[in-house]
Amino acid sequence: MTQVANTLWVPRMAIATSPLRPAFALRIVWQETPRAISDAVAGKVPCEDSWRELLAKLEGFAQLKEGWNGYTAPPPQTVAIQNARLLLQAMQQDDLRPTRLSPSAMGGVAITRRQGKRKVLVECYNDSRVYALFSERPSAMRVVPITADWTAFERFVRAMRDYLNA
Amino acid sequence: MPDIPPDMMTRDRPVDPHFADDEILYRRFRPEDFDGGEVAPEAFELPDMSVNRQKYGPPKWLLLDEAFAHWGVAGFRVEDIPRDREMLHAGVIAYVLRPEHAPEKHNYPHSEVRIFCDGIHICRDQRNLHLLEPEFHLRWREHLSMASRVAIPPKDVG
Repeated sequence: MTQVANTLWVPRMAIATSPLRPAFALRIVWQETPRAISDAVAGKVPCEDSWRELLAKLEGFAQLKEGWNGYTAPPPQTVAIQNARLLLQAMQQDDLRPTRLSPSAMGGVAITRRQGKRKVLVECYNDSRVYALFSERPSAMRVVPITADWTAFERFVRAMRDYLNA
Repeated sequence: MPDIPPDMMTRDRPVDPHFADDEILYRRFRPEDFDGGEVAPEAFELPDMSVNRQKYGPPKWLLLDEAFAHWGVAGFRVEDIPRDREMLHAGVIAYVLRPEHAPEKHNYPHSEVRIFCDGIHICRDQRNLHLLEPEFHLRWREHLSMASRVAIPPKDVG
């Protein structure tokens, strides 16, 4: 086992063999994937890359033009993207990955986490307001405003996790 | 510009204000808005949400433009809105929604779902969007997401 830069590498098999033909001795070493990545693949921890992709997707919303939805929806504005980024960072800190990230026809950015019959949809609007819908099929729902700052987002992510039993 | 079916042109036809409760209203949506077998609430909007009337054309007319070739079309009934029913928000704000036929030169079936607050039409031109509370439209759009059915599925969604 070797420890490299705080990453644990575990050899699965190491062979040094063929004493009859030492000139052709072969050493084959497989190494396990670093734990953070293998956990991510197993769905335990979101991979850093997937969070980076989400954030890149979010930044791409700034390129949308009016009518991006085939009608007259305004593009997400800077303040909506900033608030969405902050919320995504709070979710990343809590390892709660959204199941959906999208521009909203209402003007802004929508972040959804769906779990079974329940989902939480947060919309960060172009006028800087943020609202969350807690919805359970078939028809139970409630909507709450959220203050757009780090402390409130951290608290909200915990509430989201509790609601979704995630 | 796609070939417009002759029946889609308005020509000299008048506005038809009569909507049956079971008439379906169609709205196109992006493939990305097809989420878990449903059309996501982000695809629906207020005020003045554009739709096409089933009474005057099939859902495929919404996808005639090449840019929408891979998109989907959702449909919901007029009674799902529901129309002309006063809905109290926070116990004090009275919202009323209704479909209104708004033909365009090349799109006779075009209509809009409009919203009124205490009798005032909320719309961008009136600069009164502040009358539309997010608590209300989020609930309404989620309701519509649940009530809608896919009339034409988007092409690049498995």
